[in-house]
Amino acid sequence: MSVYRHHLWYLGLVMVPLLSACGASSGAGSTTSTTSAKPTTYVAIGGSESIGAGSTDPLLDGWTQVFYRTALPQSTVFVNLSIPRSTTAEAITDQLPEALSLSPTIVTIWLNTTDLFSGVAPGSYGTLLYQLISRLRHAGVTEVLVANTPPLDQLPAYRSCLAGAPVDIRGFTCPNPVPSPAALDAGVAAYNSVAASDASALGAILVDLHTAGLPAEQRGTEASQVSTDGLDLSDAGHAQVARLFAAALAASSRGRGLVRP
Amino acid sequence: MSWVDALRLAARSVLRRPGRAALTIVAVALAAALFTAMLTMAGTAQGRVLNQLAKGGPLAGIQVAAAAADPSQLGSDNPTQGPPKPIDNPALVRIAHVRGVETVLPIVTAQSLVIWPGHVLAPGGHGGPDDPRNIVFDELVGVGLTHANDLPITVSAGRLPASRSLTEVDVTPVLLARYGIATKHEASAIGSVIELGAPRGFRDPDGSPVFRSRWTEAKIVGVVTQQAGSGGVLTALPLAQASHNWTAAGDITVDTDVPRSPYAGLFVIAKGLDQVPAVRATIESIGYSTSAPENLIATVQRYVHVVEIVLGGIGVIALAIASLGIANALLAAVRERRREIGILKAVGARDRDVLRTFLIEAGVMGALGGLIGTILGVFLARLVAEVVNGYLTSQGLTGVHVGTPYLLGIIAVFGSVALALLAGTFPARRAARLPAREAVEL
Repeated sequence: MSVYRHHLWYLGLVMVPLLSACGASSGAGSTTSTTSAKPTTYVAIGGSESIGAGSTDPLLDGWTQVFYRTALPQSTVFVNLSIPRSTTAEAITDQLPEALSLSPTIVTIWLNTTDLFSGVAPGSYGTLLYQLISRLRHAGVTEVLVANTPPLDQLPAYRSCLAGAPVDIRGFTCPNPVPSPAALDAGVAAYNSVAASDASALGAILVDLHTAGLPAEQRGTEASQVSTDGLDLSDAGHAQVARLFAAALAASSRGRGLVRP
Repeated sequence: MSWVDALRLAARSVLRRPGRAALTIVAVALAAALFTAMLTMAGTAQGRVLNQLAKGGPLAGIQVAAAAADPSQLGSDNPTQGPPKPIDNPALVRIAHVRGVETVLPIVTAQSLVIWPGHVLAPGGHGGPDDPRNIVFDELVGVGLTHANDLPITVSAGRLPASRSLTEVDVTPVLLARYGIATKHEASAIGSVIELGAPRGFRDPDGSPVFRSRWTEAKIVGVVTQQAGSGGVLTALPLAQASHNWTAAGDITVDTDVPRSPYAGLFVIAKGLDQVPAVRATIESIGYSTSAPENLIATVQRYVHVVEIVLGGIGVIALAIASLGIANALLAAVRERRREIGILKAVGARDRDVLRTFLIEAGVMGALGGLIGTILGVFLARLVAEVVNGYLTSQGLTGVHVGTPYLLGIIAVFGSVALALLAGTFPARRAARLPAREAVEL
């Protein structure tokens, strides 16, 4: 019996360093493998705003790029599916299939301004938005962030339309007829109501660009958020939108685990 | 007379004239040091030159391109390539089974935008007038990093990415130069995070060509010089593959430059340098273009061998000259010890006993000199290497590694002993033949 104990003791002496070696790193330069967990995938669905229109350099200063760079973990994969001047209906056809194929963890949606100026009724907009969010949530997307419509009545491009001046900014032209400021505000309010309702019903996060934009409008400093073309966001505007999306994600219980530490 | 007695006599003789013995040993030591140091440096230089030719990879490495072989260029070290020919998995397997192939390492490349937040491109670093100001259009080169030592990759700062990492990359000095970062400051790039965007062409609802990118962030963990591909960013295979697959799935009518081959190339390692020509011929018969510096390596090896012969010859001449010192010292000893030799013979020592004594004396001086000289030669070679490395490092180049083969040390010591014995033969025979009566009388 003592002979076997003797052998077991030697076996233990051999196994300890062997087991330690199994746990050590190996190979020139190999430290940690970072592929054990599926990386976070962020997909942006939207229109001109989401491709960074109006910024100095869309790939550096566009709000989706800034949001990806500052708010999400380093291992995140980001694909921007946004198409300029896309409506919600077009996004369902042109962007949603690709988004679903990427199995994203986080999706941001900013689709409203083009619908509004194209005359899409709030009810139709709400239905389409619900469809878009619903399909994403049912596909397993952890967080869907939906932006509502910011204040538009002080937009220089809109003001030019009101004044009867011709406007053509990368395909955006004045709606016909041009809605009055009161009608525009009512339309924005209706859009924001259905957006809030859809987000709440489907467990999406509403990013309230409208409320965030009101103080600047009241102070008369909203121009700093708009680029020189009078329609799109400026660099400061894109940065502000990125911060709002980041704050909304961090404030949600599920999103808290998805943000950059 | 026994061997022990002969050894005692030889030792006493050496110690009786310590100055003369020391000078003789020093002469042999210097010659042996010269022999060892020169051949060590020759070997180091050969290794360095061949390493440069092989670009840090193995000498038996062959690069296979995703292109057809040009029949007129077969056998050339760097042939021009024929039209593109994709390398897919069946082709990879077929090449891996070629006789003489030890390992096949795939290389995947992917187009990529590179954004380095906080860094500005230097004048001339842009890709052209249409490029955004701080964005570079470059290429990711993905390799199997578990076999990094078998690839033409040299790490000049930091380390290689982890073998399956999606978030670590190395960059090349060429990419750093586009940001105005000089070679001597390349280590400052380590730790920075860059954004990599793989482009994919598609057509928007209006039919206009558009690109959308798949972005990832990666930390720079090292700076490398590499010949596996033409890109400025070295990554593990999974990262390059993900980017390549994203781009390759795009609309070919929008981006006609997208490489369709799953693999940009292969790095094939033959089982030996002598197998390289046959392996290349077989791969070319399969239809792929190959390149390898086999002819250049063979030529360089011949020339370096000539240099080794010349340097070795100089070392041997130095040893021979030192051996003449041994002969001279022993001849003087024979003259001085005639009476002692006579007395030895008178008490019964034979000629071969006297011969043995003097040969042992010569052998001991040769052995001591050879041993001291070999050690001195190794230190001398390392000292020279330190000076050389200081210069190379200041030029931003990698240093040399000096190693003296054990065989060289053994040859130096035994060679010194052999030459000493040869040199001591004539004086020893002269002493052995001295008649006893003549030695005692004089």
